[in-house]
Amino acid sequence: MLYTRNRKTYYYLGFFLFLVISFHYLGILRPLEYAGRSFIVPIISNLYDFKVNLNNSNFSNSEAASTTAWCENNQQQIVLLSAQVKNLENENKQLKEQVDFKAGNPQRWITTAVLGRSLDGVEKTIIIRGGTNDGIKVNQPVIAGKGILVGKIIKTENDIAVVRLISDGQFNISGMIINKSNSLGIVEGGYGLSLRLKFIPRNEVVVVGDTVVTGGLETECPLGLLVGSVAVVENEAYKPFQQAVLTPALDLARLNVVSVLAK
Amino acid sequence: MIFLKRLWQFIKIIFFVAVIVLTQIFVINFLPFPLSAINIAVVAVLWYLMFSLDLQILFLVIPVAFFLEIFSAESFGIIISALVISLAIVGWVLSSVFTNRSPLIVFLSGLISVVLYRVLFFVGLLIFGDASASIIWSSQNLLSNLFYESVLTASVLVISYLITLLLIKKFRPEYINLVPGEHYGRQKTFLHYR
Repeated sequence: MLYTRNRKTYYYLGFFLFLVISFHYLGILRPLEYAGRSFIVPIISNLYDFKVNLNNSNFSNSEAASTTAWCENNQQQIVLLSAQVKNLENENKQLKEQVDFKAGNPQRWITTAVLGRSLDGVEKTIIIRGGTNDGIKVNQPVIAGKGILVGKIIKTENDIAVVRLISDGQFNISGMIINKSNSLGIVEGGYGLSLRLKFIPRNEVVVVGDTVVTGGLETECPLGLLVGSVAVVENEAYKPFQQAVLTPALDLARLNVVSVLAK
Repeated sequence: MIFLKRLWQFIKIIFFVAVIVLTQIFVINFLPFPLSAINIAVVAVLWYLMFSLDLQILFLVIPVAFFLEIFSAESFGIIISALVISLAIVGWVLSSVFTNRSPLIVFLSGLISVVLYRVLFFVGLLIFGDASASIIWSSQNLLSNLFYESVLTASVLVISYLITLLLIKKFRPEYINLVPGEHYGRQKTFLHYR
């Protein structure tokens, strides 16, 4: 008797599941999804803001001391970088003149707020305010600060969009190391807090501390968005390529405001 | 009268779904990793199944998973199907194979649920998603994430199960009159909506 009842439960469960999935793709559940989002988004947003503020206020004296030490140790590197930046600015200016940009900037930056993390604990994705209504499309790069890549848009709704962070296992994008040979590779996430730049030719010299930017090989993502810096270089004789472990340029857990780069 | 009864049942279902979804939101957005990997939906449903073998609870998994799904980046249906199928399998296992309710069995059922859920999730991702097998397998965090999620979810399940048992013993002394082997949940609980 119990087994018969259980079997019926399974049949009904399967049928109900089928109905829900079918109704979603037919668009019948859209009002319910919209209502659910309208209800849940403010909760996620407030909770996320509270956590970010809490993290910022927990920035203790020991952390401040270690940060200062880190800053001092890297001062020399910063001077070099600023020199490189000046060179790049000049180069950029010349390139802009050559490429005949339209008046203003042809690229549109959609600045928006981070609402929170997606509700699946394993994926490293965030939800941002703004969606197809604001011109946000799939595969557009998402940046924070002054051009630091944080991820790519992977799903859009009318009012929200989901961003896959660079630390997610399914994230990959072309990357370029700022060195003599401008080594190209593929930036991949999925290694905890660090990233990896794979498929760098073995004959090219990669040094710890080198800056990595986007390679510009994708149509949606421009060249030169900052990704991070090289922390470890793995160059083994029996492998055709070398790879580098990268430290992201930004703490991805403390994002409040990001910009979507729309063309 | 029947209308009021149905309305009350409906309110209870909404309350149960809201509590699970809100707790999941809190865990994901507030707790640090690896605690954020705890799967509250699995804990809640298995906790209920431990005390009552009423598989009707599986119907509540669908609205819970629905709300998790609308914020997911993956194709709609992957999370919902994986969660429902894995919990349905574990529900059958609990009613037919693991009839004992020792903490070890509770832990094992939590572990099996999460592992099954993730396996089905990644199979769904390979079939219907945009991820290739190489990308999923090249991610070194895959196994460690699975480990954290399964062990922590199973541990939270065991802790909540033991606390509930303790509370039942403290506040319901009539439990000793139950026939040995009979589940506590055969009596009416607040979640019985049928």
